[in-house]
Amino acid sequence: MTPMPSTSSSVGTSPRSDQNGVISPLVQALGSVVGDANVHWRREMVRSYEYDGSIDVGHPDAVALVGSCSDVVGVMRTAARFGLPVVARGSGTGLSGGAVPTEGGVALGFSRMRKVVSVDPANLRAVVEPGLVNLDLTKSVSKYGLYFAPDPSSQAACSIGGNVAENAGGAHCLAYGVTTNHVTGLECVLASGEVVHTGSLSHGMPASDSPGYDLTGCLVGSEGTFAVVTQVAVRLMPVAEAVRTILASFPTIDSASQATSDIIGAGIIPAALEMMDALTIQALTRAGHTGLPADAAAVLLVEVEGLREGVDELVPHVESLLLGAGATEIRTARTGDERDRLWKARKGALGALGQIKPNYVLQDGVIPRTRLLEVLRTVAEVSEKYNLPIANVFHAGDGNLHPCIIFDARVPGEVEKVIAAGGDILRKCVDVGGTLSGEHGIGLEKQAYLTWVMSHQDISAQHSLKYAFDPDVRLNPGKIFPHAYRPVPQLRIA
Amino acid sequence: MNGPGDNVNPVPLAAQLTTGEAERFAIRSAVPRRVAHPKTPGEVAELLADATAKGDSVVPWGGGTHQGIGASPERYDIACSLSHLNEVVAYEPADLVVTVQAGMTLGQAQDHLREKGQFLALDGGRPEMSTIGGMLATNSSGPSRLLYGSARDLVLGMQVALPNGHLVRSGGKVVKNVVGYDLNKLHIGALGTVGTICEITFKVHPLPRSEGTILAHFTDFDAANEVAENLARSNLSLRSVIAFSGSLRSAPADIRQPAGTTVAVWCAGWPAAVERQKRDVIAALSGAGASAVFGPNPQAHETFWAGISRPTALGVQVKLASLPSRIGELVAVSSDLASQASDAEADWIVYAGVGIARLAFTGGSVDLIRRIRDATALRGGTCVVESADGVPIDPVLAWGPVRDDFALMKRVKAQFDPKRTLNPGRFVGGI
Repeated sequence: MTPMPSTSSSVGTSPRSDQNGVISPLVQALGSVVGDANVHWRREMVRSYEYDGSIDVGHPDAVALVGSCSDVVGVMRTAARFGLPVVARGSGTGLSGGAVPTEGGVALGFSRMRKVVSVDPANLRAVVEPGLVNLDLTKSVSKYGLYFAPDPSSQAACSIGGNVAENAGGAHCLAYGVTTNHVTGLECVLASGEVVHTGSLSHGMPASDSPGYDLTGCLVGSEGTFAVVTQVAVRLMPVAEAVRTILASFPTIDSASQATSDIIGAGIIPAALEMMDALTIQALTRAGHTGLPADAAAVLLVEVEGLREGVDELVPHVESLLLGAGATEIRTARTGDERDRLWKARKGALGALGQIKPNYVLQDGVIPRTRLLEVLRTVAEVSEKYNLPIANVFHAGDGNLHPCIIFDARVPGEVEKVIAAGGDILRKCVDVGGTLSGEHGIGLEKQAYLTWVMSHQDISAQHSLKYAFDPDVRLNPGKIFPHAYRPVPQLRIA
Repeated sequence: MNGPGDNVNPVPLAAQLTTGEAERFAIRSAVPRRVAHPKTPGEVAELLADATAKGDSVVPWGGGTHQGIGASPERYDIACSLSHLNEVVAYEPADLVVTVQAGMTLGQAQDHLREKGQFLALDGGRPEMSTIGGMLATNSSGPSRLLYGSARDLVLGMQVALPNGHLVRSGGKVVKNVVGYDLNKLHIGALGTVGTICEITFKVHPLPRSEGTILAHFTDFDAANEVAENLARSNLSLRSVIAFSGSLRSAPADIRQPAGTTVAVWCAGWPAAVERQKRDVIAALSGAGASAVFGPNPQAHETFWAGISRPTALGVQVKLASLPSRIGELVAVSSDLASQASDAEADWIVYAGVGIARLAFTGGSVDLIRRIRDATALRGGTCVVESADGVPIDPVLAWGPVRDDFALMKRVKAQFDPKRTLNPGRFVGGI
């Protein structure tokens, strides 16, 4: 049996096993923390930890399936002894490479930490483990008439821990905010093995405004580079009394963009305001979704919710704004089933794009809503320039674009074109006053562009916060900051 | 109190030392050696760099309305007034985004926004004096928090001057942003101890099409608080639900009562929704045993909500926080303790659904504040002193004891302000 080729370039790599199949010291040490059955090191078992929803790939030295906070503490200390980084992974649905262990190390899996620890309906609070699937959280509190507002399109698969790491958004974030607005406290483990409770999980303090720095707010969106989260305290919301979902067809992208601006400009903040273009509709129809207008250049999916009387009053205003901007057809979902079908289409859009070509890269840029028209025109120009189809399916209401560049990775040169096209689009987003990511994070995908929106001093301040949490730069290294601006392990004089 | 670098070289900033000015910037008995009025964020950054180099301490100042929070500064060399940083930097109504400088008062900001039919959903404080920067540094909030969240839910971006002289930006001007670490959150509620906020970008909201207030008097404290919490957590999407002491001094004279509890509900939204809210609220309040349910006249609605959160000058004011379901209990126990210590009734106000209450009383002492804090802690809450005339306040009395995230907080402070230039000794744990 030939020795396995070295697959990672991390510091202090130990081979998983030698050519006689002897278990490595790393694997043994991890096994004594989480149990031997919960450590994976064979190639076929760690395969799925090598990638996430992005196009990046990495190779962990070992995978540890943790079952508790103390497991995580043990793994952190073990990793430190071996000089290895630690990369936490939720469901692997991330789109910026956040869970990809590009520098090897120990990958943490949370399939054993999926519990709803407690629900407090009277206080609209719950405490959950990070491996819990986003939609499962909502399902488990629905019997109280409550739900968890951040609803990424991947919510049937993505984990709360992942949502916390990336400050995930979703279609309903327009009205209700993103993950950081719905997390009140965290339990987490630092690279040193120190356990810290922040915000409403500070011992004996299940309150808002816990005195001190908002460490919870610092941790959300830190892309796994500050700490490993082992418990999440969330805020729940009461389900609205009434909801109306409207699908409006437009003859041009321009008119759909105009309608978006008109609605927001009229002081109406819908619960959701999504746009899908013709290419997306085509793909969805081919994938079997029915009821979508075949000849529209773009559709808007507008959802308003609230008290019955308020919804009844608001809907005609929304409809007249849609028509005023040039909508050729307006359909309103009359039943829960019809509403579900519309959302299934929106949330299934990405999967449907596989009908056109086998691969896609989903971009994620944010722009001021008033520049939507202009930026979408640029996206169309980029598509022509690189001869790559680009589907637009995104959160029009908050200016969070998701141009989806469709390609065939087997064709030589395609990947390079895709990356260049994505860069052109992001450049435009930044030029009109927007930024590089609305919900997917920087990870690996966009670190090359970070200096477009951050000065040296801005990056230095970012590092300062990083060093407070992880001075040895052990957690998810190689993410967020481009190579020239990597945080470096801090020397500390004893 | 002479610092190590009493300089011969002139400092390139507006540094004025007129008689009596230093007294205006006193924090309890501590008075600054000098007062600075930088005119731009760049000048703020230079001032901080210079102070850090010399080992001087700096206390940032807005309107001074919340300087009672925290302990006294360990050293007090420079009062840095942000009053000259008071401009609207950018405002795009169609994007519902505004950027203002930190020294602008909340009232000035609202005036600008109102012209375009919009508002910043941050209230409380004293809008004519409290600055945006100060409100963020102290994480101040008011009645609208129930529907709109607090500062952390409204801030999109910031520009902050750091003790090393850097002027850094975090966040941006768009409503969704995951680019790097959320340093906005770090500075909110940080009492200016890791940076001086110079500029802030907020998301704003359209003014509601319709608004109204429903008031109710109760003799039964528990019934009042219970119905308030029920309304707050319902899906009526009420803008605010508060319960307050019948004789609360910041309530309009014509609705005050000598004893008992008053509940006030802020209905806002589209007209038909507001009518529905009012109907349901009236039914709930009556059903809970209110002795009277009424609405103020429409003209009084705005002044009611603008005024209700104003601090009452009763010597000591504390902010209590707990789970919403326990806040009534916290207030009951604390106001009893306070009333026992003085002849005057304590003033209190509960922000239902948020788990925040304020209590104001006379006859304050270290011992009384400690007892209130201990009673609060027993019920899983916190007690932060917001003002305490004549009472010596150390960090533990001001903020409560430190917890297991304090070591991490110290490391954050050490990274951003290693020489403890900013507000030294005032924050949690004496940071």
